[in-house]
Amino acid sequence: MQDLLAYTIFGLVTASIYAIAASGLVVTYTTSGVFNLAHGAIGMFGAFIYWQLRFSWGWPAWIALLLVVFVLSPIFGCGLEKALMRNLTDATEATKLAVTIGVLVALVGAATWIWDPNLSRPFAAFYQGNKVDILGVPVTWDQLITVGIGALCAVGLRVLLYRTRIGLDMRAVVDDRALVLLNGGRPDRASMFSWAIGSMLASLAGILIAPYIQLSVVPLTLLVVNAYAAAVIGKLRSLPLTFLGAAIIGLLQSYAVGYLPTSTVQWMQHVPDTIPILVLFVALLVLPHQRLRGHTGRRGRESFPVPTYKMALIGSAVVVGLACALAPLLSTQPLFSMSSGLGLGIVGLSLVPLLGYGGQISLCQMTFAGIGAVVYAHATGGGSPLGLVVAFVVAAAVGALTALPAIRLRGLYLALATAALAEFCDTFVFGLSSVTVFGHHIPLFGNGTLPAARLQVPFVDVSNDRVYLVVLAVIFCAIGFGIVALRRSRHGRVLLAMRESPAACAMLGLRLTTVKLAVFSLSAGIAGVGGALLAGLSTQVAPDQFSFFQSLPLLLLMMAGGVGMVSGAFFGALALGLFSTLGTMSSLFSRGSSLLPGLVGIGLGSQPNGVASDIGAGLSALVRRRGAQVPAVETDVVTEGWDEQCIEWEFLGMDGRISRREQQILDDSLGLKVG
Amino acid sequence: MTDSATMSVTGRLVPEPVLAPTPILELRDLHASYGAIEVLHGMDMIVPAGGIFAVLGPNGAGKSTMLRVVAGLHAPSGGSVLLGGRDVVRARPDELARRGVCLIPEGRGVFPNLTVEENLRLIGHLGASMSEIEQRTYEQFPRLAERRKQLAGTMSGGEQQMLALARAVATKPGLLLIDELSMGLAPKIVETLYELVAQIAQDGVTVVAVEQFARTILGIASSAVVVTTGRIVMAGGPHEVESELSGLYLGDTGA
Repeated sequence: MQDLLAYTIFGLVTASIYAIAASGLVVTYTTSGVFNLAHGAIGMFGAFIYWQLRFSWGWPAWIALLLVVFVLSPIFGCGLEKALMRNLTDATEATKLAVTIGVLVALVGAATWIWDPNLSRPFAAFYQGNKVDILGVPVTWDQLITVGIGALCAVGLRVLLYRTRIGLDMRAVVDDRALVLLNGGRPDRASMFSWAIGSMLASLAGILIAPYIQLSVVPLTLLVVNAYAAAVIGKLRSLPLTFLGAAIIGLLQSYAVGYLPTSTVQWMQHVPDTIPILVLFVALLVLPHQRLRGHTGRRGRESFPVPTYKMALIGSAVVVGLACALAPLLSTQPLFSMSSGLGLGIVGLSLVPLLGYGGQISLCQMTFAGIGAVVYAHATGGGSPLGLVVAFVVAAAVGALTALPAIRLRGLYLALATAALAEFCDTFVFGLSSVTVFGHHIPLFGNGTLPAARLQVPFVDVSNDRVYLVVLAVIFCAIGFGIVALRRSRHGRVLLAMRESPAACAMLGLRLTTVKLAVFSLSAGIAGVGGALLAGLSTQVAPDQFSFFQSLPLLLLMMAGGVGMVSGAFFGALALGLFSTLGTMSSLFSRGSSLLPGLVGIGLGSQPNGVASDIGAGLSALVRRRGAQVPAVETDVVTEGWDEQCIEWEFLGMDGRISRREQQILDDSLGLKVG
Repeated sequence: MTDSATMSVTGRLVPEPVLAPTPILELRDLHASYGAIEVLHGMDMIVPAGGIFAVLGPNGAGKSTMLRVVAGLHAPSGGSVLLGGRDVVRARPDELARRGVCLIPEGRGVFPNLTVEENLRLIGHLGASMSEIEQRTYEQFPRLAERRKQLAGTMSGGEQQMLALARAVATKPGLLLIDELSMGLAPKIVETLYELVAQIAQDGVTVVAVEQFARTILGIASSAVVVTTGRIVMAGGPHEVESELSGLYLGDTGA
């Protein structure tokens, strides 16, 4: 009985922290339509600044707390809203998420850069050592304070949203931004206020949770996944349900720690950590969702030309030629960096059909790569090409298994489901020493790393790192060619149609479920092949290579390269290779290695198409200069060499592009004049 | 005589109807486009102060765009919008709202997830006390008083439009712009709503109403224009317009 009470109290403490974090998420999401994946990173940063003030410089706790929570955090939140989020109202879900991932990755980069991760930082709780006795259970002051703050937040937010003018404005902005303007209100001010509050709550949660786990960057940042679960139970908009969700998760987790045989049964060891993730997954699948609220991007700023086989051939020649030219010149470290960039680029290619064509956001491609790597390492002693096939098949099967329950999820919810999968693999599956599938024993990372052989290619000495770079380039191009062929086929058009308008697809009689399932497993398979090749590169596999966090910079750089194009994945790979080379040159760079991808991701807010389409546009402009001038009716890129000459057609609010001939017909019928 | 249509000292349009020489709203050679597609090709329109000014025309003629430009929601690509003689093309929508221009947008102009009461509370910028606004509103629209604690989105379409009207009236506008009040509503309800609009106009508010139910609106309008493909093709008194309308515009179903 005493135990039960103790676990309940501890569960309520964690629940309070989750609730504080989750309510911050909900407040910003409902008022701005941006789900802030960087919420945890803001909390992490707040906790680090608090540590700096309180423990490094020795300031009194309350001054440090007030300064971080009530001064620095709101300023940061307002700045974030004004500089980035305000411009995202008409962006697609993927771009919105990418920008917040950019903030996350950049904050992680900045924090590791400022605070050396190799030093340990003791983080004492408030009034450490003081206890009171509640029915025979010793409870620390700090735990009481945490629960008190949680309750205060619940009441405070309720009063703010329902009893004050700014709260009313915040709720009105959710319903109809333009209408608030028409009523003389200032929606921007309401949004800014909600981001300020969101940041405050994030920092508060970060400072409160830091004593319970180590003050280290990535775990603190990703702990927010637990808050996602509470927010999803609140359907991302109801604060009371969010608090309820937080209570469920906190208590379950605490009881699991108390009552599961975690210390005697090896595989149970990490079960308590996975509970919030499982709750998130179940909540996503079980709770009925309303249609995502009216924040869909109408302008369709993201657009990519249709690739031609000719361009694909030229591109392949350039990539392989570049690899051949660079391979003999590079020294060992840059050679490894560029090879690993190219390997990651193959994982990145998997995003082209999934996100670029199909518009489905996945945050777990590196997890699929990890699965591919493990399978490859296990299946091939001597690096037979058959291992790649097995890696593809198994990763694709896992991808299909993931997609099967998640198939009815769209946009943000799908992204969260994939994040849950990645976190699940990080905290649970990759932590096991082995798994047994159908009586077949597969060793995992239990003992640190797994040895893997390099892919054997006939007549070629792959043990030479320079040769392996060229092999990677050839495989990259082969897969890229396949993706180009997919895009040019009927399946490619179906994927695009699914991205543009799922409703219209259903009207045409397309089975979206099948399409989604197919593209998800294809993409997981490609990622698995990439993982297998990466395993061969370093001849060993380590779990942190394939963690959830690793998926984030990859996604950002692929989007920055241009995720709708194969060439975009190459630019992404190039950037990954270059950043990693920079990292080997100076320890300062290696520590803040994720700062650059983060900043690149933030830039996606204003340049959602990535560099590949800009470069393509520049090239075709050069070609066009020699030929006849195309009349400048287009609002966007004009590209004579591409086979779909599109212009934005916003008149009917259509989120799509139509050909020039169709435009003419429509204009004629509407009596409109273009130009 | 004070000139009601010009801006008062505080910059607000004064709502009393006075036969003023300056029109309350004037559009001069107004151009507006969406991306590359121009939808208003030089629109000229003069709205005298007082009464109901009907804007008729088929779908896609640019009527709604015109209202959005006047309310500051869409920046025009050329021309000017004169409000009481003053050019307001660069003004933000909230500034215009504070100056007494009120647009009830197409669809339901309410906040569906707020209660009726909260919908009214959003008008805080006039300095009027909330209880005063509520009292006046519920007197004029007793139906809303019954539903004050209900979420606006759960009311019927007609009630929602009534709330939109009520909220608009509570801002004491000088110029009320209404975009297709009738959209998706039964003819009977549309008539009731327009009776309310006629009352509002009698109280001194100039109303510009974009409408497809031509006969209903022409019954209460003091003047009317017909817009097709981004231009005014006809202007005059309601009877004049009605008699010539059938040839131009076949969308009239009457009521």
